[in-house]
Amino acid sequence: MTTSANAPKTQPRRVNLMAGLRKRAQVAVLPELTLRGVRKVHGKGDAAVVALDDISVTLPAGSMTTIMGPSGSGKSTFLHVAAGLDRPDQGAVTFGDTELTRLSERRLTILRRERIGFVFQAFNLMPSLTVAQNIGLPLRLDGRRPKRSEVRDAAARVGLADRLRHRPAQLSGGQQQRVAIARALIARPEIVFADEPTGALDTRNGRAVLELLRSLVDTDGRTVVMVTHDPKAASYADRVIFLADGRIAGTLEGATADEVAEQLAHLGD
Amino acid sequence: MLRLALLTARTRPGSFAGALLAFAMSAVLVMAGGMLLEAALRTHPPVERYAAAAAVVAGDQKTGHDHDVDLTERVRVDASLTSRLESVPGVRAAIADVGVPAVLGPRTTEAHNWSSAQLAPYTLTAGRAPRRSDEIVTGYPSKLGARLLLASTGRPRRVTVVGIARPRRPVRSRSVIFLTDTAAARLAGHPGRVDAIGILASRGFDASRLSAAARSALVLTGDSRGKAESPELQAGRTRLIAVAASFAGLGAFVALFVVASLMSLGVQQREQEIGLLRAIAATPTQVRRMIAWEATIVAVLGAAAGIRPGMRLAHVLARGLVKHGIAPRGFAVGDARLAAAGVLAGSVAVALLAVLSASRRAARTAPTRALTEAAVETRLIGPGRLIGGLVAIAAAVPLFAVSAATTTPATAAATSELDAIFLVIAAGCLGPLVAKLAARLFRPLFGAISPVGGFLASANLGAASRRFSSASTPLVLTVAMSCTLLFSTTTLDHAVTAQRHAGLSANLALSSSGPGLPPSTLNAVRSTHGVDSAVALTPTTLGPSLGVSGDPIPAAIVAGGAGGGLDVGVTAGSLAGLHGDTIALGRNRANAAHAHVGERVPVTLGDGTKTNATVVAIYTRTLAFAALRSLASRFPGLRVRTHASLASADEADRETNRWLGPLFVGIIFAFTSIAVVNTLVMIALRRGRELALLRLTGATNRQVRSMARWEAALIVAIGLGVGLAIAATALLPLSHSLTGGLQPYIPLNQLAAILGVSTLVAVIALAVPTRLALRKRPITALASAE
Repeated sequence: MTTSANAPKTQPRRVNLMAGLRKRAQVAVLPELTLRGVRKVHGKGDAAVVALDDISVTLPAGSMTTIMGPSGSGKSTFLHVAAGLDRPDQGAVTFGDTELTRLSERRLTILRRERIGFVFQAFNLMPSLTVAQNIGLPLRLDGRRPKRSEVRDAAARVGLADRLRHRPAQLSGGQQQRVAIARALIARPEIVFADEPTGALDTRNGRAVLELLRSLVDTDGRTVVMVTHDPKAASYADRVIFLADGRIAGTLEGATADEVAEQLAHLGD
Repeated sequence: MLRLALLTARTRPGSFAGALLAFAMSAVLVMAGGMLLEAALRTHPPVERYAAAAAVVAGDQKTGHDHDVDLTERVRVDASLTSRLESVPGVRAAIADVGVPAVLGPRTTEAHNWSSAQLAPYTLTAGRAPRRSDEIVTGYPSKLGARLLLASTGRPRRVTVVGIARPRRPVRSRSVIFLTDTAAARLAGHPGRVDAIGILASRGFDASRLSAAARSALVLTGDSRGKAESPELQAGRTRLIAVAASFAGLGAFVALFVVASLMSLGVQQREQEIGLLRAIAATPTQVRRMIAWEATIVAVLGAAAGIRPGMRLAHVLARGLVKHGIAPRGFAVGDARLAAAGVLAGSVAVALLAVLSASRRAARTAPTRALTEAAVETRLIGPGRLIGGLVAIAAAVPLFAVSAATTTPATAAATSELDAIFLVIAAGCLGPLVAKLAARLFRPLFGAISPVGGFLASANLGAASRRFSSASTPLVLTVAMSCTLLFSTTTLDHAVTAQRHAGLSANLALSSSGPGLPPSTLNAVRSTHGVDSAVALTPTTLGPSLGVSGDPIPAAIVAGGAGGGLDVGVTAGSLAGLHGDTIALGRNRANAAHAHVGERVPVTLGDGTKTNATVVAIYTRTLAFAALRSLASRFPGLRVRTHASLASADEADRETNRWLGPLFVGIIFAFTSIAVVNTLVMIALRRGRELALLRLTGATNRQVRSMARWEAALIVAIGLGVGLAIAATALLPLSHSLTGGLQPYIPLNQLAAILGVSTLVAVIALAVPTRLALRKRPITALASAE
């Protein structure tokens, strides 16, 4: 979103046009996320659980991928390892030219701040900051002073322009998720990870959040990786990766909710 | 619910341990204070010299409107009572005792009349009874026939040891020599009056029959006979009780305050958990019962752990009090059961009160709150806190007025201390408002200086004002109480010393290690070649009079009139007229008694005698000499004060100020510092999730630490700022009433030590948990936040 401060928000057509132009311009440089032979074991000895077992996969840039699987299949671990929040025991995670697994904790943090956005199931926002301050936080942490217009535009994009001065506690769960997405928008991350973003929401709010995530890909050309167990949510993705017992158990491209549910039901077979 | 309470306690070891520690520390403090107070109340002067007397008739040492002021000088009885008492059936003999301080050779002792030896009884082990005025019997082993110099109220002279006597039971409180009855009476210098009359009983003795014959004098039996033996210890006992009571009271206040605020912080931190319990259909009553059980368990366990260390502390303090002469020899803390029971019951009561009042709202929490962000405070301050804070301020205002207006240092010190206590309570109640205000003030500044750390810290201060106020309140308590207690002492001490220095412009001072110098010394000194002038000063006290109702008034007897190195800043009249029944008054006393130069004012002397004296001068250096009087010629017995009473009036006071004051401050400081650590760690431990989220949003560890540092700076600034403001509010009127100026004497190194150590403690207590939190991976911390 690069609409200047004086650009009226009532011209979505023009906004989309500009974003589209940029998308085309950036496609070449947008990095892919690659996992190679990733293995992750939680715990030790008898209590050890293999969460990820030799996972190799490439998530193309400018697409939306959903990770699905039953509880304990390793989908949260997948997300954490892919996002550099957790380190694999074996294998490598590469984001463009950068190998995450080789970065120091401090470099990882800076990489996350500059190139990665997060949306969690709940507790996404700093309780003591207002909506506007939460949205502008990544810029502030990067040493920049968030411009009021930038923050307002990001909030408007998620439909919360009138809530800028509220505190997170004064918002509904769906609104909080949307603030988190606006926060992910403002820092212009190349990739956004979402962990059960609709898990605590009702259908209507959930749909709004999913549509926003989808628009991150379509309008802004970002990459979105989402963990969910809801086939409806998964149907928003370009590709669904199924995990079972820490391994990739299947992949679906452009599937409907019913197809996803069907595949999910037969995962154990 | 008891089971559930135990289970939840197990899952939160951090805050559970914090509460336990607070209770244990409080128990130590209250236990020590309680045991000291109990021992002080129990203590009485030993019965040694009157051990053989069935009863002792002595003057009433109490005076004042409420009969509660101890006179520091002995109240004597009429010698003619002896024959009246002897005629009471069952009385074998009534024996008058007269004593006077003396120095025999190198030994400081007390000279008594030989007949009073029967009251112990002392029996001769060698030699014979004294017959002439230059013959003595010693009450301790000595050399028969030795010729020694006896110095007492008269001119020093040689006496011969003609006998050695031994008491039936050991006399430890003093050493005694005996003169003939007439020689003793002559030295004592108060013919017709005796110190006390001992009664030896025969068959059919009944102490109650003595009262009629004794008239206004008291009939003392059993342990209370000790009061007549050493009346000067009675004033010491009153001070000891005051000291113990102030320690116990202060300890109880600090303990109460710390425990109550910690318990309510605990409940506040658990609102989410309580909401969850409500969500799974626990009724408000059940929730409250669970919290009450928890509080009871923590209180009992914590208090029980503190009892033994508390006993040890009491023993140590008691020994110190004896060593420094504040408590009499043999003073020791006794049975701990009463204090222990009090501590246990008190702890549970305080815990329940604090927790129930804090959980009243929590229990009413809507179940839906379980799912909302618990770290957000829904309102700034409840009606209870607001009312409490306002009431505390309302209580502090008149105290402030009193300490600013009073003319007695003791009253000023006591009221300023109370003033500080009420203001600390007010600060504790209204803390969130202060934090909010500080956030408003600092926010733009902090944001400008430090756009990440400072900005986040001031945002947190504004949003979580209650949490910040909980964190800074123990610091307020530490700084306010330590500074007030310590610097009221130094201010008083400094003012007295300064005025004494100014008041005594003499080049040389003569003093005696023992009973004082005989009056003839003054003439001897004056006739010495090279001495320009000299003045004799005898410290003494007056009974309540001259506009003071509750305390003895320090005074000095002056012989030698004006000049002689005494410069007290006379504003009206002259000290040259100070002889006969005259008195010079300090400015404050004169104002209080509405007295002017030339007028006659009623005065109560140190032994309770009421008389009138003419005011000859009014002066300004009042701390050095509250009243100067010249009644010596009429009451020669008052001229010399015993070593013991000198020590109790001056030395013990100084010891109380110099040793005990700082010690108490040290103990209170240590306790409150532990409370600071406790509270801050409890708060910092709860922030794992917030810190994790911040890191996931892209904050580096350095940025998170910067925020934590700014927060620590804010907490410390508020704590120290409010604490110092309270101390200033308490100290300024004190300084004004003592010196007329607004400069409390504050040794900078002590102030720096208090502020420095509190800051250090707070910063470390905040930094360590933050550092630990940053070691975890943010995603783990986010999932497992306590």
